[in-house]
Amino acid sequence: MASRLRFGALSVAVATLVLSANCSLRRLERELVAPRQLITTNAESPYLKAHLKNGFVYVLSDWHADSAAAVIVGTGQLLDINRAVVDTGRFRVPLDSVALFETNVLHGSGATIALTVMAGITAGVAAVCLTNTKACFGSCPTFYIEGSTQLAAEGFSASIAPALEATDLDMLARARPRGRDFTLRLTNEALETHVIRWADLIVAPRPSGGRVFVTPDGRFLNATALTAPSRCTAAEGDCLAAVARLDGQERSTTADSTDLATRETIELEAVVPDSGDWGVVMTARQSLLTTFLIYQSLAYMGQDAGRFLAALGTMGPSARAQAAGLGRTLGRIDVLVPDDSGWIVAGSVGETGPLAADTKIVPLPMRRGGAQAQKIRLRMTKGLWRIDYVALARLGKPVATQRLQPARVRRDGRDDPAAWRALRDSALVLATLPGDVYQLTYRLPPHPERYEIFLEARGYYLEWMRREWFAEQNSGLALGLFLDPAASLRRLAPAYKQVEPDIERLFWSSRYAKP
Amino acid sequence: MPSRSALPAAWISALLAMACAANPAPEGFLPTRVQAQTMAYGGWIELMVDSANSRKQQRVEGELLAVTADSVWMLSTQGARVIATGSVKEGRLTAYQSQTGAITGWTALGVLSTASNGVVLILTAPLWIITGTIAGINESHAPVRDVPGQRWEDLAAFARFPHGMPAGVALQSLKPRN
Repeated sequence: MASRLRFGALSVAVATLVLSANCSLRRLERELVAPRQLITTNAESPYLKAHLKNGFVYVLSDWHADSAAAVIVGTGQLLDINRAVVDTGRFRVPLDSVALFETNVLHGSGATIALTVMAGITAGVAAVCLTNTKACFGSCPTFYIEGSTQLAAEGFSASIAPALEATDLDMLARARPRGRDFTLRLTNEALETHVIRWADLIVAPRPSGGRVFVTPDGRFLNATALTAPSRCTAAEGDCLAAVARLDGQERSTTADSTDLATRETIELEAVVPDSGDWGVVMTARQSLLTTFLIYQSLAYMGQDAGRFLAALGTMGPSARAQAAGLGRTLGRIDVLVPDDSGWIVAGSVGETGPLAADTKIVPLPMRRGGAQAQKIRLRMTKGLWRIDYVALARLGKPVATQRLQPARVRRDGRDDPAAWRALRDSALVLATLPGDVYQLTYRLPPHPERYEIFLEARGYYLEWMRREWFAEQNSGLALGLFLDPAASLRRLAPAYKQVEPDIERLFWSSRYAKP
Repeated sequence: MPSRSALPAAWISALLAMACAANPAPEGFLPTRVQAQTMAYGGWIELMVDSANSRKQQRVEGELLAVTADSVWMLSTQGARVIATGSVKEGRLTAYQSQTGAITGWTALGVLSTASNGVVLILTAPLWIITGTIAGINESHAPVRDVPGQRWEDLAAFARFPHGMPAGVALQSLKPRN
């Protein structure tokens, strides 16, 4: 936080400097004027040089033309042909002794304007982050596939304290290994300390023409005959184009303006060719609503945030469950299917985190029979989820997987044996700070293209407190978030709706990278 | 080897060095823009003149005393001389100091300040370098007047005697600026 504040202050300082540069970085406009034209010439000029016919020159300030007397009146010096001072004082210079007048005016230069605009842009971006700290980038560890700038996974987003250390399994759905060495870039792009116990790959052989997906309870299943829905309807109308392909085009909506826990539904229909075991494959991530709420919670805790989060470690399971009440109230994406009595929940997907979408599969209780149109309803908190892809898939057998630890760990292009040891020994941890980047290289089995790749990361992270948050410290409201999350989500709705239109832009523009 | 923080300045300096107009005048001769409002000396002029005795061109330079369409009066440490403009292949007048150094400094500081922009520095840092480089190049050329390009009479505004050599002034009585 301190460094961001320092950099923010630096930006403001640059802006000030550049603005002050206006004074010294100016364009000089010099004009020569015949004596009889002086009356109409540039009176803006603070100084007037009167070049006499004999080569002498008056340099006058506080000057004016007395047209009636045909003289120029001003204070200054008379200089000879070698520019030595001949006389000083207040002068009345007859126009007929003057060969030429010279005026000089300083104007703002193009260079100053350009630098001022740049300083304004820089300070503006920095100020956005300083004044909208709840919209600034917060991420937990982020993972990129080497050579790609597209985020592949984020690790344990809900683990904001040591007591909440957790294991997170993400499918690297877009991984296309080109050889047996597969490298992930592990980054810390937020004002956070990340504590990573491990970051292993789980690889599973793909079935012919199919893929392997993991269920919310961690079972790896073969999946074939992926079938896109034939219909998708939400409150805004047809949503089929957004969810039919895994293409980054997501279906999302805004939060309710009176209650952040308000639910919405999406109705899907897909024709499955036969009976059997089918499941719903879904790729989704959260919106920035959760980020806002986590930061708001920390702001309410203020100076006591550290103490509270540390105390979580000594609390009993019931107290810890109470602390997770906000997340439970927001909920996940429930997958419902019709049965004789109405709709039943087949399962729920969705993990905390607004950055990388994760893919999971929810097995469905299917009716027996031939080809049928399967109706599916997705129920979720409005404005909380962004869904990229939904499909049905025929489920196969559970798959035997293989765990791969990093074979090599590099930092700034050099091997880092200490980090390598830390990530291979679960008794040790790798701690990273803002701007840190590591390359984790794994050795895949032969024919790596035949494998599905998942990332399993375990750890927790510590959010750095922002000074601006302390102003909102309110233990009563902090307690309310845990004791009565539903009421808190209603109370915070107006505040979130105020930042919601810009929160995405502010968030991504505040990602931390070392210069 | 430059330190990390000095790198932006080094980069910008290198870029500017490639495209900027150099300051040819002796150190301390040229006034700043603010000083130029009150100082009454001429700017610094360099001329490439056809030599009468050989095919080679001769380079002469000094303070611009006066200029007309057919003659240039200048004053160097060797004394004052008048040169026919017809014998001049090309000339360059530098009227005052440019502030390229200041722009380089501000640009370097601007590049460093983009550290506060998070990932947006990918855009703002190069933008600072591009803007600063263009501004620096423009700034370095602002005090310069070239002939050909401009007419000889256009240089008069930055001569010691913009109205022409005063009648009765002996060239040998003129002293260069200390």
